[in-house]
Amino acid sequence: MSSLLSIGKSGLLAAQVGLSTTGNNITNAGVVGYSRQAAIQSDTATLDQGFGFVGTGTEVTAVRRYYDNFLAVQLRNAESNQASLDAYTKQISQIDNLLADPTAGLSPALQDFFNGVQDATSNPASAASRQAMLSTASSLASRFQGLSARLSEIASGVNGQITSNVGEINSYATQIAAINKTIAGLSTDGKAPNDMLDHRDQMLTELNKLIKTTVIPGDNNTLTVEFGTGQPLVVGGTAFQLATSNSPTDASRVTVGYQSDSGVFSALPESVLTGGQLGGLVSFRNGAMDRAQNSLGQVAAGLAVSFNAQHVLGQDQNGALGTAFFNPINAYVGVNGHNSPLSTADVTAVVTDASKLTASDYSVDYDGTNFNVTRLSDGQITQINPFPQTVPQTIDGVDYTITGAPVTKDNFLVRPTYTAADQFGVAISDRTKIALAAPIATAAPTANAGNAKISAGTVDVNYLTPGNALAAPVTLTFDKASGSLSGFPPAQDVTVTVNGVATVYPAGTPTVPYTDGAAISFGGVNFNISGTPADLDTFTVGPNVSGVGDSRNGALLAGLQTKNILDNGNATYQTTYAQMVNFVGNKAREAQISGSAADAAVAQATTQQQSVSGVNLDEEAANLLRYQQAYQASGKVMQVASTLFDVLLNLR
Amino acid sequence: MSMRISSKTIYDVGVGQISSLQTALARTQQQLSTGRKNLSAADDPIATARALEVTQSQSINTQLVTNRSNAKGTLSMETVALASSTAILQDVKTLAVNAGDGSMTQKDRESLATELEGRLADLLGQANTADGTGGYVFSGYKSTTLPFTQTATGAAYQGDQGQRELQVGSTRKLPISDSGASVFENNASGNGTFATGADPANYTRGGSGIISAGSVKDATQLTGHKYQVDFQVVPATPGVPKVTTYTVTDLTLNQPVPAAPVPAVPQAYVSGQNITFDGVQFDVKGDPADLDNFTVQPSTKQSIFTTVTDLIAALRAPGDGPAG
Repeated sequence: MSSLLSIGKSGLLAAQVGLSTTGNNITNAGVVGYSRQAAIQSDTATLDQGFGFVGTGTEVTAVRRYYDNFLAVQLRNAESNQASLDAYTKQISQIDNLLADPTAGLSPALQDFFNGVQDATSNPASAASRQAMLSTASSLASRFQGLSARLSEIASGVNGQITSNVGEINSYATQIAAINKTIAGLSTDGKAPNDMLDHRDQMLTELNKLIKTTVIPGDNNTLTVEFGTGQPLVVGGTAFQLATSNSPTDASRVTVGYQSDSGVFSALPESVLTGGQLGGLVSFRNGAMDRAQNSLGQVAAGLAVSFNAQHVLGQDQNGALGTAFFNPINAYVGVNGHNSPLSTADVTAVVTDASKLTASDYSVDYDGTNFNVTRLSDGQITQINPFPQTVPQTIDGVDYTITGAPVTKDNFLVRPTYTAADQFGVAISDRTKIALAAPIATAAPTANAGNAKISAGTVDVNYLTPGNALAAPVTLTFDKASGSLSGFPPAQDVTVTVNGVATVYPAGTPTVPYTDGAAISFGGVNFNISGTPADLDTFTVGPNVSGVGDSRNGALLAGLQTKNILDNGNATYQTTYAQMVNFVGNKAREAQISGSAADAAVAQATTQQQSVSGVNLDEEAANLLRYQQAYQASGKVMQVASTLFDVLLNLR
Repeated sequence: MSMRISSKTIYDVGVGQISSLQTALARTQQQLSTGRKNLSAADDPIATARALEVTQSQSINTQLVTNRSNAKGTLSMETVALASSTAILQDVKTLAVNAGDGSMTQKDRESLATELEGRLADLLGQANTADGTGGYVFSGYKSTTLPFTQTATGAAYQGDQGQRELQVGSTRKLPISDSGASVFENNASGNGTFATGADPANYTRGGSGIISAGSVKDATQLTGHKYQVDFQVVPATPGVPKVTTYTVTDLTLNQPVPAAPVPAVPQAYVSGQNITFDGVQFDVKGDPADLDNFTVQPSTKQSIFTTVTDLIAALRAPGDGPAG
């Protein structure tokens, strides 16, 4: 009897546990990270009664959570990837939207500027046209600066998010370490505190949304958490702390590293920061962000340098040679904060050649003997030779000047185009200083008896060499008997090019043979004379005095718009900008598509994981009834036992 | 085997579906309101890049239209000035023909000269046509410099020979001006190749020979040299008529034409008969006196203002000689 009573009691207790577990499942059905639980029931030991074994009732051996580690890891990884792409997409969408607006991007400002140049070229003497050109130039400058400022804002937003991500990662690492300890303390005889395991799994899930980790099971239900290529974050009850610090070569950029207890910061390579928001942000910053800023800078620097190069070959309204139209573009030079304090080396870099300029950054390192300039995009190394320098060395369109006494391992980061868009500005404010005219004018006097004509003439960069600029007209006289021209400036070589074959007549050659239509040049002045000159006919090449109606240089400036200047003469300004927009668009699209795929993967993994661990209320309702009936039935067993006992008591 | 579905999944799937449909709806509405298929470069990176390049072409083409209209404006100003100049020169020509009227008195000629002075001033005004924006049409690159100022012998050109050009097509530049030198000063004297002239002393010697303007007989033989035609007259003696002969000397080479023999063989003169040598051809009419001579020299460029000024001076010169 007593056994029947205890059997009934055991059933009653088991049903109670079942009801509690089911109730717990029902009430926690909506809790994130909750795994449904079930009471695991088994029969208690049977007793040998001689004739056989008789059961002694039931017991709950464990309350287990439904959890599949494989599915949980799969979901965590999917969510980590999703968070990474999400962070990337959010950032790149900002750039994408910035460039998307056809009225707000660089393109309209660029076109307006060149239309301004064309208008000024059409009406070179008009003050209004010249002023309009200056104002379109200012608009272009402010558009470059505005875009650059917006990109810088995005960059500083990324810095802020990286810092806050690192803070959150530290917080989760600390919590996971703490809960590891608690779980280890509570885990005895293979039993585990289900709610704590759920909590810890949920923290791991949240941590993985920040950075992708690898989880390795340890003793006593503890976990070891690593990221990257095995960098530890949590080992048992110990959490490692990450921190951020400014980059040694660029104070405007934060880097992530370990922070020791004593506060020493050791930077981590960015390649180990993968997955999660942090991974997304780092890959956005190193990929799209820098590339967008540098490409925009390439357009800005290329435009400023090439426009200036043509502008200085012109003559302004006051009759003076042109000066720089745009401000010079100085490369950003970051001095590594770890350089020896004894080093006095200093690097300056100025962009001088738009064609050779690349969008890459450069590392300048001193190996004890030489300075080496490494192009970071492909690792191409150029040595500064000779060092010490006497003149700046030009590498990829940038003039490097290195001064001072270096110490081995000195390091500088040179970013030629990084700040170019920000530096882009109009150097002249006086409209008369716009050099629309060519500095030379030619004439064949009407007194000439022959029919030979002289072309209008152009100047090239040699014209800027001191002593080459024409102060007074040079008069060339044709001698029919010898068929030659005389009167060339005595100090300059004369080059005559006939059908592509150039002949150089050294400075001081008294007479130069005349060939119909040949290109003649001296001291940076180029022209040709064609036709049949008569004896003693003269041709003059002289300064373009009062040539305010001339706009030959303006036409050359306007022509830069469609000239393939950048990227080794393969791209116009607009093409380079379009390439940048295309790049950003592609990256954004890539992130969007990968994002959709990641969403689907997360949805799939969630469904899978939920199919094991999720609570189904209908199922629980059935369980509720089942346990209720079990409880009732067990009660009935006890009632029967009681009745049987009463029977015994009534046997008097 | 059917899969367990948790209650949470059932709700999440429904909410997720509604949310993605709403996102798609919002996007379509945005496309409608902006009228653009691609809202950002990410929608179609290649098309966006291409579109940027096309907008540049569009912008350039629009600018070239503006440039063409600028060129047209400038050229029509020049056209008007040239048409007016042509009309004035027609008037000058008419006046010059009128001046040839033998019955004119000195006073008549004076009034013609005065009228020509007015025409000269008109012509100078056309040559100094302003472009309406503070510059001048015919001053070359020196657009703000007054092209011509009047002098005692005509007008002096202050501009240069620059020809302004404008980009009117992607690879086409159009000249939009001509310098005053090329329009008003580049006029060849004589017949365009050579100019004939008479020694002023012929008149005092009593010769009445008139040399024609002449023409080019054979362009390949032209030398560009200066020549002199000298006449010798042996007076008539009883029974022997007057004999007029001429010789031609190349003053540049200082030798007779033809080069041999030396001295040259005198040629018989017939009034109105062509005289031809070294590719040039002209005739002399009338009755030259002994030692009369005529010159033949290459054309030089003469300013139209000099020509008209000379004409005015000629009309004012005392014209009391016999008709030529």
